[in-house]
Amino acid sequence: MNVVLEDVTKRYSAHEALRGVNLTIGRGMFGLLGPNGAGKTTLLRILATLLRPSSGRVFIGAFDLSQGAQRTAARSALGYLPQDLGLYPDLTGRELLDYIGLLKRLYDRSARRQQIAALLDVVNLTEYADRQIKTYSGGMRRRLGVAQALLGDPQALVIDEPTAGLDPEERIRLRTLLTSVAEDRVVILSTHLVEDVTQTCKRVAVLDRGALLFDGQTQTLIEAAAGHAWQFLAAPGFALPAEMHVISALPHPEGTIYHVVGPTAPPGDAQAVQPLAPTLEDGYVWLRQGAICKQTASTVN
Amino acid sequence: MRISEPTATPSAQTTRSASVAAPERRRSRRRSIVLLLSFQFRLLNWWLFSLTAIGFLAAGALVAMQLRIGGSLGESNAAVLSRITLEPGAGLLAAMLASSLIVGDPLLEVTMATRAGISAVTLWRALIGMSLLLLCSAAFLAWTLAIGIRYAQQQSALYLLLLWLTPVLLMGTLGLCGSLLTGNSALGMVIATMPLAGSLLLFPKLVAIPATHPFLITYSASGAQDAHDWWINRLVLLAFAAIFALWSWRLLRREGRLLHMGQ
Repeated sequence: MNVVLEDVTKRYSAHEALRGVNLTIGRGMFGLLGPNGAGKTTLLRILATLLRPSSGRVFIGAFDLSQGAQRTAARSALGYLPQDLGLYPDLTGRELLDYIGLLKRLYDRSARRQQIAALLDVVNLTEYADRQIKTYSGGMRRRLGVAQALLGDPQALVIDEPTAGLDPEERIRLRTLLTSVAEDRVVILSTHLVEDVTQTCKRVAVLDRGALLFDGQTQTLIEAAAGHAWQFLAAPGFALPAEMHVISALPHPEGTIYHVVGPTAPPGDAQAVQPLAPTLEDGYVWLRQGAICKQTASTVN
Repeated sequence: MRISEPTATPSAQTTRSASVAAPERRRSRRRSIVLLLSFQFRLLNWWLFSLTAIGFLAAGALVAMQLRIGGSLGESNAAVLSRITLEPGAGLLAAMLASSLIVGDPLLEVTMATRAGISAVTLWRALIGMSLLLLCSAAFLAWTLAIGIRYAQQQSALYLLLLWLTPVLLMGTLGLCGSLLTGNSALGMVIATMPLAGSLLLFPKLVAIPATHPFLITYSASGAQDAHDWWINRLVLLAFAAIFALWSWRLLRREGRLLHMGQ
């Protein structure tokens, strides 16, 4: 099954949240990167059938979301985990899944309960299934969120910022879980944490101010920064050129060790300059820098 | 990784008799709907229901007390109190229940993305709220009728139904609509009480203007229970209730607004 977006635009009065987005997303993990306000959540809400695009068409498999009846029917093929997942604190994890299963019209009780037990096992919550949700940690709540999204065995999973606010151990656990469920379905993962995409997605799209900056293999985005990532030691008082973007800065007894992305090698007063093998973060920053430069040039012209 | 449990193969499915499977499916569906309603009941504010039950119980006790120790005016005071309980009182409780049906629901976004959707969930919750209000009101009505309260000269079942139903529907739909418009259940409740407050406070002035009679929510409680235009008043208010119900339905289908409300 494919998820297809054709020239999708979303306007909120004067503000254009999405501008002519075209994407075809196949089976496996697909990362959606972008800064805050890039339009990621709007795009995911359109895919989750919560919002209608102002123009353009969206297909979830054979379902055309512009058709009212098909839009509702498409929900049976969709699982959705929103960014701000609120849960009913007095229900137990199992009860919550039972409730959402009923909302998803899984009316066969024994099949539904078997599926809930299997899902609780998948998200490693079996032991806590009969405890009230108010006793759950943040990571357990997110895993329960993934379980509710997987109820009904959807063919497409839309997940918004799943690892935000989680400790490193929980983030790794959740990423592993998402990778394992992506084997036989489309999983669209939106995040502003580049590391999440690096660890899980073969394909990635980058959104910026509602427009699609990049759509392709994660490796291609990494390679785009080849020859543009550097590390050097800068003495105190070193003036960083404006076109260089700092990825990290580590204090050092003789100054600061910078990891930067830029069009040319650092200037002469930089010491111990080394080209680096680029990471996805370098590629992402390099791509965004390029887009900003292009935009500035077109504004000046 | 597949999550669903293995299902029967097509050949195994065909061996099952369709005549056996259909009633089984219907039973399973009925059971699921009952379970779903029980979940909705648990997810509603239980203290609102407790408040409703306590309110009717207290009003019933006051009516009985008026009859017992109210002296010569006891009977008429008890009748007025009964009309106030069943008209603006029930309306106020309906507004309170309806304005908190969906606003502030922590699972709003996930619910919207399910097959059932937010409209169905709101409808189920409204039905549960109405049923509980009806139960309490019916108990109160039976109690007051049993102790000899006369609500009006034309005291038919339809009269009693409209005496209660009109403010309940009008203020309930207005409370829901108000809460959806403002994204705040308390504000929805305030909006719903405005026409009621206006009707109560301005009744002495407005009663002199016949054109305003159809719009007075507390028409019966304020002493016009036997007025010739009482039925028109009920029908006009019911028409307003229908308008607010339609408006609420439209608001429930505007997902963008609902999402904004949930943030």
